[in-house]
Amino acid sequence: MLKPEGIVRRKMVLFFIVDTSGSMWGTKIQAVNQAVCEVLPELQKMSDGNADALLQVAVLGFDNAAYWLTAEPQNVDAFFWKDLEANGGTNLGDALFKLNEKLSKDGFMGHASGAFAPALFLMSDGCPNDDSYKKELEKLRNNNWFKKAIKVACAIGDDAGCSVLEEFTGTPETILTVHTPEALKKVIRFVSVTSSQIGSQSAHVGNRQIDAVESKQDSMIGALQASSDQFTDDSDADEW
Amino acid sequence: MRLGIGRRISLTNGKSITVGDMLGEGGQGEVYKVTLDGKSYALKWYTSPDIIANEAFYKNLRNNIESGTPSDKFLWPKFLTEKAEGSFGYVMDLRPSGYNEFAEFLVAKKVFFDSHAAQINAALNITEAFRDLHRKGYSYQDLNDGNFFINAKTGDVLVCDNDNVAPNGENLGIKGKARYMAPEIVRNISKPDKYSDYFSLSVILFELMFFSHPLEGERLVKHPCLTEDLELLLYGKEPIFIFDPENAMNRPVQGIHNNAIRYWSVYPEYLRDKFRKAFSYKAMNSGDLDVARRERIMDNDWRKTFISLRSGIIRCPRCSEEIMLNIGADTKCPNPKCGNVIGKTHSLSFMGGKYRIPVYPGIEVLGCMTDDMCDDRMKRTGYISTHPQKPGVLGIRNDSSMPWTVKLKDGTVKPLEPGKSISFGVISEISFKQGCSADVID
Ligand SMILES: Nc1ncnc2c1ncn2[C@@H]1O[C@H](COP(=O)(O)OP(=O)(O)O)[C@@H](O)[C@H]1O
Ligand SMILES: [Zn+2]
Repeated sequence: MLKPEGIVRRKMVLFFIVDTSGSMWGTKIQAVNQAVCEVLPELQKMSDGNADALLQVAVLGFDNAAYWLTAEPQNVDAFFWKDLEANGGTNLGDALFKLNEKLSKDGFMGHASGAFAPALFLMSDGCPNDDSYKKELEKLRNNNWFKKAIKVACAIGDDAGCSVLEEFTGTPETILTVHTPEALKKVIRFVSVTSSQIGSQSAHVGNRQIDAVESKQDSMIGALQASSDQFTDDSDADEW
Repeated sequence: MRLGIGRRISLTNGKSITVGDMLGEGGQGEVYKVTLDGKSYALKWYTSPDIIANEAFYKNLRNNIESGTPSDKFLWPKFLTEKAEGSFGYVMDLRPSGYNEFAEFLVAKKVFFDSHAAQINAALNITEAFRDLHRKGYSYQDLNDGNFFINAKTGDVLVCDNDNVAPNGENLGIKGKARYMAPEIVRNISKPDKYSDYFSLSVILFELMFFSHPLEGERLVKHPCLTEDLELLLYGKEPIFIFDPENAMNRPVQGIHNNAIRYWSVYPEYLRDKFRKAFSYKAMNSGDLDVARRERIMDNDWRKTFISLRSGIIRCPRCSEEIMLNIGADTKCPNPKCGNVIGKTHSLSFMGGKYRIPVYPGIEVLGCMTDDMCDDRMKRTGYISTHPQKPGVLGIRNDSSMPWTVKLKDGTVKPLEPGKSISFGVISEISFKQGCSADVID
């Protein structure tokens, strides 16, 4: 019989937005590098067995300025994670600016058969250098892709500017604070897998009013709450 | 909390299982290999708090285990665990080797059907599985592309995830995937039941035959972002079949929906027509549910269609590609390099059109076609072949153990004893038993 092409899938892009400022140097950035590398095969398996969506990855690092490590989103099976290095300041504003630029049909979101809203995963251990990020965040918030996106942040250590992260995700419920490399790795795995799962599936229905569907961000919040015991990281001291 | 290897868990029947390797992870829980009485099984262990807290779910699982599997096509729950570590699970058979998940066939990267015959067998096995399930009074509830393991060579099917199955009319509050749910479920106008199963089954069968989604055409790709609201519209409020004869708003797009376009012409018109009915405006109009339910194609109806389709497969005399013959029209060989056309053949229409097969050498007549009380689609009761001395003259042989009665074109009637053949040229009707006959259509 004629070999079929793959069924038409929407794409779903998982964005890793990683703080690579000097304070991330050492264990933190190493934990990020290792955790992402380890989760990639899982994501690949998920993409292969998913008839709803094609899973892609985009990586944005930021220190003195923000820089894309992926010129365009990469299919997870073809994607190679280049280890990030850390030094310099924390220019979150530039990261938000560059993200906004690519969250468009002509940027990273174009796809002949359409896309699901992306999943945005921000990891940072500190506060931005100044308040200039606020202006960029305002603009980003008007971006429709951003509005519909799953937004999760990981606060690495106590110094992480949680209020800034919350401004990004729009809700404290999708911020996870970690104090150890082990916890960080766990969070990276969980968030990558779960946000990809939720983001790359068609909407869930049930248990609701007529003509209402659950937003992906709400599904993500639900998933995080359901597994919260896995992430309660109560250690007093930061172990970095 | 993952279960450690070697951990023992008690079953409600007093025995206990030993946990082995983890086999996989799903939305609601984890699957482990376990041993019980020296034999290996699979354990589904729930991690979803919604399910763990759901007492009705546990009870329902127990009921399903007690009443047993609808047929051997299910990886049905066999034993229930006691509650332990704040959760519970059930034991089922391990998936045998040689099976792949349905989604892998759709993604079409590594897994492909060997033949149309295997593909149609899979369609038949799926429809039969759901017929058996519905006949037992159940509804499946959240039928989607994650529920089947299929053998690419034979088309054998195993239905998994049978933990949401509930008596028709009851509902365990399970959420479903919008692309597979009936419009009234997407909109939450009603709860899943066997009628919504019929719809989901049609989606699955369409995907299986066309490697595309029946509602995803131009209208979907027009929107760069598939938001939840858009899904509600496309799958719930205003679904439109991509080949709707009365509404051309959602046609497949060349260059994107290539499978839909290509395979649509490969199958006989009667199959296309079934899908037109299954996804008609009426069958999907959640504003008038009584009508929508009546319009849906039932599993048994699909089964007959696929039995006819399966019987009508021949090999192209020029390139030996499989061809599924049209009834009452020419058929073009689907091999684009061949282009051979098989001219219109006579056909047999059984029991007023319930089954239709082309008159072509090598085609078999099956038990279920010649006896309305017989369910057998494997047993051959008749055979179409070329006259041994007269090339080009086709006849039918009675391979059953009962005499048939044939009506000749001149109106006379005569018996056709088992083992005997008669040429199609002279007959207009064959009667197999009281109330069961086939018309010969020119
Ligand atoms: N009976 C079984 N035998 C072997 N593997 C199984 C069995 N049931 C499930 N699995 C594996 O475990 C994975 C998770 O299964 P499941 O929890 O049912 O997934 P989901 O919730 O996504 O439907 C599946 O991808 C499958 O590979
Ligand atoms: Zn041919």
